Amino acid sequence: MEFVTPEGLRRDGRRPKELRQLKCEVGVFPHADGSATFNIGNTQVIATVFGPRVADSRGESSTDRAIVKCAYSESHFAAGSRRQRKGRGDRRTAELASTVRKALEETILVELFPKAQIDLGIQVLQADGSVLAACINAAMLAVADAGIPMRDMIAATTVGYLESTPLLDINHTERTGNGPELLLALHVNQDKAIIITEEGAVNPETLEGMAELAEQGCKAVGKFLRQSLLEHIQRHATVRGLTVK
Amino acid sequence: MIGSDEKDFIRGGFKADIRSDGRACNDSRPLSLSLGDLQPCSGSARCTLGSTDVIVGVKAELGAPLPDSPDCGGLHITVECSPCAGPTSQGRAGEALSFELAKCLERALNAHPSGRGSALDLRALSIVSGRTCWVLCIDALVLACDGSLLDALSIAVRAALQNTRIPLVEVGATEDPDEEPELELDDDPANAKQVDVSRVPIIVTVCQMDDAFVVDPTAREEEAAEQACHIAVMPTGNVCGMFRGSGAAVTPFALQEMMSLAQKRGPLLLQAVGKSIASAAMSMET
Repeated sequence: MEFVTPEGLRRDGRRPKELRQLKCEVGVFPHADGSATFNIGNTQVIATVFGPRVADSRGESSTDRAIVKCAYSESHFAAGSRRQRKGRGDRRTAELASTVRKALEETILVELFPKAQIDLGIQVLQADGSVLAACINAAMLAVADAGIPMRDMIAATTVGYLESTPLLDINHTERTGNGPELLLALHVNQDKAIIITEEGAVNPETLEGMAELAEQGCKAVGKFLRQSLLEHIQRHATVRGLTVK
Repeated sequence: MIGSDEKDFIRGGFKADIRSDGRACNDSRPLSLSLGDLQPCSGSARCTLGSTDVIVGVKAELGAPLPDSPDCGGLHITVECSPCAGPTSQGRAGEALSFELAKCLERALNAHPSGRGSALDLRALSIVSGRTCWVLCIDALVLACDGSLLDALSIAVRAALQNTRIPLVEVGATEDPDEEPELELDDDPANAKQVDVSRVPIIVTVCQMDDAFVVDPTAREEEAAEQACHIAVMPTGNVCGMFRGSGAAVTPFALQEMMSLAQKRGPLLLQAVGKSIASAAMSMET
């Protein structure tokens, strides 16, 4: 299958350095302390945050910081073909959950909440590539909505490499090309990477190109997330009769 | 979990016919529906009833019919509690709840293998007798639970089925009856079949406290009430299923009272659902 045409267009008509359409909504559920949905193209993720509250078990809690827990689930109908057994408990799910947890644990000022616990719930409604990046972005928005203080904002993107072209934000079809794939989660203001995972054999120069593209992608996503959060706050302020400058 | 004082308060509200959110005993919460949000599905619907929030995706897949009902299609129903619903619906408690909800929905749809008397005409899903049929996979996801889950789930299932389009299949002619006939899927959405939902019931949850009967209870109200019943009602008003929820044993008189309340309420709710579906379909077209 040809993933990039000679004119430099991808199968869905995007250019190699183009993100899919971003959409997000903050504060979608009244029952959670914080919640958000994040869409990138057809990938759609909901995240909720409960807490910080007193930790369930004293054994797991820590006296100098809050612990973060993450539950991840992918719906039966998320992907093209229906998965017989969604795995809460399978290894892939456990790894995804732990990656999201780590990213948020690095970002939340956990030392402000000793003996506390923060629960993250991540639900993937539709999976069309870049799922983990979408999960991290959604979780960050939900934590921000819950008013939990953070070191910085996170933004995450995925970069693939097919037919000697680095491709930003690859979708499901492009994933079937089995090229190398790089996930980058960035603290956008401090310009520090908190999660980098790379799968597939790749030479150092290519990797450098991919990382550079991923960084640009993260910054673009970060800008969008920041704008959305500001708009959300603005709306809240208007409702409460406050003015934000 | 709510304390005994709050329980007393809620019960007092039932007696005075005014509930903590200002509703009377036979008022329901605002209902909203959106259709066709999930691209990978043949049909989908999201239903919010107050702050209860569920999403249902229907997928039509090709499969083989069961040996004892060669002329019928298949039906699979699953319910899952999303981690978004909160830490309390996780783990074993959540799993038990999911199974219970799935079983209730299955019974309400009366998915009898023979297809007779069933809410869905499973025979319409058959493609080649004894060989190939459509299998409808109905997957429900509970995003937020605040009481009357079965009401919201049944409404979403009905709406999702109404939204479902099954592609037309052309069966190639074969000379030898034992030979596997060739199937040709028609991709044109204009030719796709719809599912007949005219007999699909919706479930009405009724709570009882002394002689007060309460419809569409919130999670707190369900906990405070003496007992809850889930009654599946057809569009005609006929009862086609009944499941007793939590709580104390129920007297025959109360049961009758609940049934007649559900029978009155069911068609009204269906009208509201019909309107919601129509307006959701309108907004999709524009």
